[in-house]
Amino acid sequence: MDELLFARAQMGLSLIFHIVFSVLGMALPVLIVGVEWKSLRDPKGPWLALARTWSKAMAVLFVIGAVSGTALSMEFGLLWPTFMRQAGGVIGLPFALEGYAFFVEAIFLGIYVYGWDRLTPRAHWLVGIPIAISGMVSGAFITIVNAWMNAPVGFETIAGPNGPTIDQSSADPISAMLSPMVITQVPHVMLSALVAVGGGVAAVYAWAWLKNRTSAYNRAGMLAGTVMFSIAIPLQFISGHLSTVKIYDEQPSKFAAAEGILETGPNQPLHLPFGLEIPGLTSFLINFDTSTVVTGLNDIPSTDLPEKPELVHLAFQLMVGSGLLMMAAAALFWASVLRRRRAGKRLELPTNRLILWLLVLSGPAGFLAVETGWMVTEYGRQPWVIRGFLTTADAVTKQPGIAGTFIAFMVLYAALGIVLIWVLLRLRTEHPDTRMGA
Amino acid sequence: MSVPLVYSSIGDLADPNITSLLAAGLIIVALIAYAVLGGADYGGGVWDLFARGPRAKEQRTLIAQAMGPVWEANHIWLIFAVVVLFTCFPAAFAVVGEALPVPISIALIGISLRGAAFAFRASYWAPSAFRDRMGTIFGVASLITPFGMGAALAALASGDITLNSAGVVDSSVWAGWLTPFALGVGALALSLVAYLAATFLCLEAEGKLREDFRQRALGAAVAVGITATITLPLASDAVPSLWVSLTQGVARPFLVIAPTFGVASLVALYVRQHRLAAVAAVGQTAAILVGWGAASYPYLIFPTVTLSGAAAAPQVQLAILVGAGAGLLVLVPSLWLLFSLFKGKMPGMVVSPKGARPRR
Repeated sequence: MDELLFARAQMGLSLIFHIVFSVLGMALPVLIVGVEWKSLRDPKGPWLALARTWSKAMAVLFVIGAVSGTALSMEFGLLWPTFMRQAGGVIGLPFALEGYAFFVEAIFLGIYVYGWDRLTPRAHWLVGIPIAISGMVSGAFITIVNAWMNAPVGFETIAGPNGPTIDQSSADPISAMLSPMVITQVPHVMLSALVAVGGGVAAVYAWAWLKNRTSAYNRAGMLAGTVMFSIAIPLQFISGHLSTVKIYDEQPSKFAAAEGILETGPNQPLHLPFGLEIPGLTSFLINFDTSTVVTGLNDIPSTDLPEKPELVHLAFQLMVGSGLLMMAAAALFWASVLRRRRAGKRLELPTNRLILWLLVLSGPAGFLAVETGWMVTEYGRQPWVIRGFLTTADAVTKQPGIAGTFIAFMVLYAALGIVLIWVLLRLRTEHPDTRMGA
Repeated sequence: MSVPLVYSSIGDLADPNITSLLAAGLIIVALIAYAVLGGADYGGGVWDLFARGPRAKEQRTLIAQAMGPVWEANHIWLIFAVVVLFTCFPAAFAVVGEALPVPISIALIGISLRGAAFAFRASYWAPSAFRDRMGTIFGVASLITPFGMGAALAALASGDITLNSAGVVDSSVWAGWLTPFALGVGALALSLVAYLAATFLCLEAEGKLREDFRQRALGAAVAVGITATITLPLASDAVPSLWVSLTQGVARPFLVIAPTFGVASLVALYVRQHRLAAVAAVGQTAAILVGWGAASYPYLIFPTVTLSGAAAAPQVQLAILVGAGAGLLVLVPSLWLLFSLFKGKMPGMVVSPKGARPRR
């Protein structure tokens, strides 16, 4: 049992670490392509300097993502060999396609980062586009695998001693990529990357702005990040709503845990922190009818629930709360811009400290939403790794010594994380504008 | 609670079907690309660690310039081989994970430290003392990783990895990869990547710097020769089936082809035909891996896991093969662009969407 706990801890740690870089690898190229495009139209502006600085950060971040992703690809076999036995043949195709997308991303990243003086400005900008596309596409393929684990399809079942199991000979790799969860999970993950990275970038420059370093460079950085997450965050609320409804349809146990529904029945309230609730709202949100019956945790067998369903609820609330904070930041930001514009000024960014602080908080909030959203989908699926077919306990390796590799990877990721943050902070202070103000 | 085995027998000795053969071929191709390109990057790390003499700084700079734009793409060949293996032969991947957690974890930590340290060292805005320390980590990790990978590969042929009746590994996590033969293969892998790197660097260097790397290549060639001479005789005891196939079976030609390429490369290097030396070194690496694959056939893990026994459903393998073929249409031109920009004649050119013109 302890071995299982260590295996879960090692996998969780590896994913919590890697997901940060996945998200950055998906959305940072989008932002860089955006500002480099601005630099083509406005060569004298701060845009080129931003794109160059960010491409240095992207180069380092991509490496950490690539090596932690390599470790993950092998950890599937090291920690969960029986998951690979059952799932490899059914859902391996999107992994392979992700491998291709990642390949393209690495190739063009090499050209982009080392090609600043080898390519004309326009050619260099064009090289950024395949990075942005392949980054998003790899994220989509990996999410397709996760959607399959939540709602597995694309195979026939045969009888096994512990219930139906996957008949490997019937595997249909194309149908397996079309799990019912794909349509809601994939956009939700893509948008989460745009929200988190936009918020993270905006936060860096809002911080400088708070310190009165109001240069054109910091202004452009704050604007670029805020534009990206402001576009994505309202869409993310729509996507989140559709996701939740889909979870209600497909994974009642996860729905009950996430929403904190204890007793089956209609007219379920929306549970807020500190015991507050809005009557009938959870039922209402499912199909705009408060009489919608929701299965509560009392009617879900314990064999279908994680050890602590309340953690799923907590993670869900943190995710939604982080989103609401960013929504507020974006709304106040643009309200301030509009108000000043009406007063006859050109596009001028807010100097209100509340708004700037909200932007600064949006940085951690976006990544907190990514991590807690991942908790909802992964921990909320426990004790299953392939829902309904294979439990995490049955998937784990029978070899001893996982405590050792867990500790080794924990030390490794802690060291990489600390050094990385230190290197990035130094990069930030490297630019004269962020260091001294202008 | 035990999980029912979903494969009739992962040691099935029936002839593998065509999709299994093609999928195995795809894995070998990816491994050759990884051994040659990714291998040379590890070799670069080794020569960075052992940079000596009046031009030590220039040696390090050249290695960093040679690796910088391409090493990440080179590394993805490994991930590609892994995902094709676990999709097309999932049971074999599971057995590998159960049998070799120690050398694989060592290699993974090596991969992580090597890549991260290289990127941190390239962060020119960081203090030089920090970057020097990262350079050392980069070198040491480059030394350990190919060694661990070589030893793990040798373990698969050793016969020391045993399974219970349910097809789950019941041998120790220390089995197979700590034998003299496996350690010899690790040392051979390390010498080979050092040799590849030095011959490739001769192509990129000029003047005295080129002479430095030529000498290093000659030294590495001696190391390859010594490790091969010591390791090969151990094979008859350590990996008898592989040995029989190499000396009497289908893989026999490779026992001649690989050393021939090796000697040809050495001679070319000696007479300063650097391009020829590099090509022959690639041929040698490819011959070793193809020979290894041919000698192992039909086993993926001797004597318990076979190609046909571990194979996923044929339609799954077909989907991967079709996907791989279609993916090559994107991948090959992209790789061509990358290598021609940084390795070919184009470094003197500025490239625009409409074509290339000389740099001012």
